[in-house]
Amino acid sequence: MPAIDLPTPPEAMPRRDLIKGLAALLAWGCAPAARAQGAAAPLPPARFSALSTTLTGYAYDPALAARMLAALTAAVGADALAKIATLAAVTAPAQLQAELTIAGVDRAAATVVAALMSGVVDTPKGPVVLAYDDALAWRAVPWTKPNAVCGGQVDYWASAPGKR
Amino acid sequence: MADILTADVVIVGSGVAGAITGYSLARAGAKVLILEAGPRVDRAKAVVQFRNSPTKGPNSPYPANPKVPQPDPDDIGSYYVQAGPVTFNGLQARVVGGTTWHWGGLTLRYRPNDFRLKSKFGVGVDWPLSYDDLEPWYGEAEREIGVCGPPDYDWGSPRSTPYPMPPIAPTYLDTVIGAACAGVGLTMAPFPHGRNSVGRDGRPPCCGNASCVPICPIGAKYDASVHVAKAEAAGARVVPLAIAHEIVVGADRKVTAIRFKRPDGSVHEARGKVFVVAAHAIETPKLLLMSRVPGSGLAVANSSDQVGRNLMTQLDAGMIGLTREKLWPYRGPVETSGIRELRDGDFRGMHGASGTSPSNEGWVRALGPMKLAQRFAAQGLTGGALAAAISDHMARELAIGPSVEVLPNPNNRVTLAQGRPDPLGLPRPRIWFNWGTYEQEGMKVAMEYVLGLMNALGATDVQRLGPVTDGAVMGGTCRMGDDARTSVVDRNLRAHDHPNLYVVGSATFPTITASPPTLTIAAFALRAGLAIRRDLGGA
Repeated sequence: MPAIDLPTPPEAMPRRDLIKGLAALLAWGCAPAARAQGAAAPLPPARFSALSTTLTGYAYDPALAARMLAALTAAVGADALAKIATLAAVTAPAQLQAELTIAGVDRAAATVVAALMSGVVDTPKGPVVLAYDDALAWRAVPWTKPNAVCGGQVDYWASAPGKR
Repeated sequence: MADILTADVVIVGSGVAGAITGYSLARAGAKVLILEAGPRVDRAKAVVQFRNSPTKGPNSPYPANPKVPQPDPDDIGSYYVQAGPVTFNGLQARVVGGTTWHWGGLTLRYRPNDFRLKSKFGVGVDWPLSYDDLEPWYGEAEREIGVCGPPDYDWGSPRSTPYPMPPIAPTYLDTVIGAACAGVGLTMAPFPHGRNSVGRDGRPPCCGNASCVPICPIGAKYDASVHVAKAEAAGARVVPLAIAHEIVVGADRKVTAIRFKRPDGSVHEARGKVFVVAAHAIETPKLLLMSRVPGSGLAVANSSDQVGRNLMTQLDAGMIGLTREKLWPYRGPVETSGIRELRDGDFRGMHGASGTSPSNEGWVRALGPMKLAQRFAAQGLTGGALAAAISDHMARELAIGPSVEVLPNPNNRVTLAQGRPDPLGLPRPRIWFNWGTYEQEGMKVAMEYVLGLMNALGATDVQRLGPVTDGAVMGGTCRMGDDARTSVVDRNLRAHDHPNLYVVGSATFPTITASPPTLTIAAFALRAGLAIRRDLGGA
């Protein structure tokens, strides 16, 4: 069986980012109680970044974040996005899906995760590609790279990843 | 005011057929004019367009002009008028350089038996010439395109010259599958490729962008823009966005001009001594059928009533599964090896030959991790669990399937659609297509082997796909033959009905075989170039 560097195990990285996310929430006066209050204001960029890290395991490219945030706000609504961000910031990863379901934003959260990872957001006019090379999904497969990007010297493909 | 362009040779189409024919004539000193319906392609811009495309389909990188419609794989009826019974999926890129922009790069020669299907197996028809007649031209085509290939295996096509370049290595995926093949009575061998394994002809070696279809971002994989550029360097003039719509024939049956439209609807004319239609298997018969011979009521080159008939493709099916062992697809060229068996043999009297090769593109080509992210996110996965699921799935994805040769059938036909003209007021192609038991039985036999291979690899989640008509291979519609009553062009690709009109490309192929047609198109283009040079009084 070929060896491979798989992505970071489920719990480790989100925990670190969870702390960061909580700190950011507190800084905005957006403590966990925000879950009960709801939130209609657009998500601030820093919260969006924390959301990405918690939901996907990867920080979102700041250069692309504003467009993605705007697209997701349009796709699922500012309220839902804020709820998801708040829950993601205060909930242990193992309980997150259950909490999202209880809050009624599990489908919206799936839309957010899919968009962040795939770089594609569904709109009324059809899917829009906001990122391809920079889509987070490629970071889940570090043994390859986006299409139309050079992979290495000729014949690199003859060996399993990391075996050459 | 209408433009009047003049040349020794006027060529319609700038794909591999037109570009190589044009180059072979221009380098010999002929004044060549190439009319192309589509726009030029800027490779860098095309790559950006590919990245921004949500579908990443074969035509997704290429600039579309609304006045020059082309088939869309996601809406195949948007250009073709499908008359049934089955959907014809053949794609063409109406751009300078043509459909080779998004070919996979396989450069198999046809086999000797491919040229004698009727006399050897009692099905289909024979070609008017043999493999031996074409063999030297194959060698020249391989040098022109730049083919790398295995020195120790000829895929059943005897060679008089070595491949111009050493082979590329099979993928790791191929190596694993090759080992599994032994358990089901199959063997694998590496393919020859129209791609650089070393720097050659001003192009770099392949670096495994894994996007051969729809675009090689570095030009390591051959496409006909190579010969468009060479033709222009040799003095040829290429006119993009020149939509040929009428072949003008004089009283002596000689062609005198090609009329073409610009996207603004204006009509212009190209005059010459010799005319070549090289617009692939759909646009070529469409142009001939749109043009009339004065006083006869017949379409151009159609005294045999064979123009548009015998449209061929291959019949595709597939099987996808998740193998027990990780195969690591999505790395390297789209296909590097194929199964050697079922491509030729006495069984061709009973059922079609098939070419089967594992895809290196996983289940969904350029969108592998994206589609999985959407799927697993819908299941509630997040964070590291999501990433791990994507990685594990992608690493074990196998897609493999046969392409079966389709026999010529005069009912499989391109005609001019009535109503629904294209944006320039020209008729769209109407396509009637079906396959029969010969093809179905060939598919059944091949798929049994594929299932055995999936089992040998311990695959789960196995699904069958298809059958459907192939998207990449098409031919027929202007058959070559020695008998003017049953064919459109002779063995030199000259129209029986018009002494100065040639048809070049897979449209002239009497049969389609189980191999990709591009190298054979190039070989015939070079051979036709010699015939045309002789017409012009040259060597």
